Amino acid sequence: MGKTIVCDSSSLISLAETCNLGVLSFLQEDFKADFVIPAAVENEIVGRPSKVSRFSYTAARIRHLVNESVLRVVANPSVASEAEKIMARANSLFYAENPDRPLKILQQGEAECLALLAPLQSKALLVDEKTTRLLLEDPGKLFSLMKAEHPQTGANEKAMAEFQKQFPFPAMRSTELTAFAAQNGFFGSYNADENEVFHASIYALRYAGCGISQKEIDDYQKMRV
Amino acid sequence: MDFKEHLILLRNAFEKSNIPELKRLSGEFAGDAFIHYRKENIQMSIIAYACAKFLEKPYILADPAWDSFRKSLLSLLEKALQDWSSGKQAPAFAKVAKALSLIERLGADLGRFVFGIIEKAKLKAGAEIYAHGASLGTAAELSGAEKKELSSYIAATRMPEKYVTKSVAQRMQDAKKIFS
Repeated sequence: MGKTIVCDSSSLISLAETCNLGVLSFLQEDFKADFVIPAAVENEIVGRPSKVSRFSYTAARIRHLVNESVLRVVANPSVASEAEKIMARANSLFYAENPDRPLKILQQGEAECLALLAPLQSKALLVDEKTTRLLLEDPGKLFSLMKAEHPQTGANEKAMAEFQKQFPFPAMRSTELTAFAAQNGFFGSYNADENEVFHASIYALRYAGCGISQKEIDDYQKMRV
Repeated sequence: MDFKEHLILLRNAFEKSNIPELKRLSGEFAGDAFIHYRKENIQMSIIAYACAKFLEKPYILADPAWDSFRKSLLSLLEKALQDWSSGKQAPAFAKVAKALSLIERLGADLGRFVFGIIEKAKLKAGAEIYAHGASLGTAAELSGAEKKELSSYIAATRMPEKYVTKSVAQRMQDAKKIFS
């Protein structure tokens, strides 16, 4: 059985923008990874942008991965309906001033990714944007960051803990995916330049949108592949 | 802060050509857009940012189209304020939307620079919403910015410094487990 990894659009955008989409086929071939996207993510990164010439190059390359079965689209009504429930819960975890004013933090694509995790017995969620990742890893940290921006923000802490418990799945970013692939020879064809290319790719991912700190980048720069 | 107060602050700052205040308001309106999930706050944020940028450019202020734009914008903001004060929310929102269209129309007279400002204003609003806690998808949806452009705009700020939860060593251990 493949190792299913549900992919959010934020990571696929980072990989596409840095010419690192090859990581997906590399890991599919060498590690039996099964990369999955829900319908809402397909629409975000293929459907809608393919109609705008400025964004169509990225969209065409990701569509190619779908056509080549490197990315598998899972679209069914139960995913959308489960995503609705997830959005209803996530979007009532935090509020402005009082619980009658909930803050909408997640949208359809991210919620559909979460909805796929359990039914597909996924190994991880690939996500570069911080809110979905923090909901899985440390919702308390998300709350404190929100409070720092808007001190009147409140949270339903019990619901927050329950939400996190519902999704016991590790989150990984495009940087971890690329670093793991690099450790296993993804940049091997660069021969003596392999390490330099790997280190540069981590910087490139950051500037393409991966939420990674400078300290983490520095740690990656110390890694040899 | 309520919508009426926003309108007053925006009108006053534009009337006085107060560039720093317009820039400050742009960020504040975007943050409020997240709190109220209201697109009118985004429109106000874009208007404030665009006006600040226009006021920074002497060649725009010297253009014959500027005077008429300035009068029309102030008049629309004033009418929106009157509508809101008399309990007519929908017409007030419609006037804010019209004020944004006025900026877009100015683009037809002044060229590409104006359209660039509107796109930049959406990115700035989206980044503010993201900083307030929204996901990238929500921030893009509410601000009207393209997700791809918003994510690289955010990446170039210092925001990602705040979102660390695990060390790289831990993350690489997790990756090994995932693929083992």
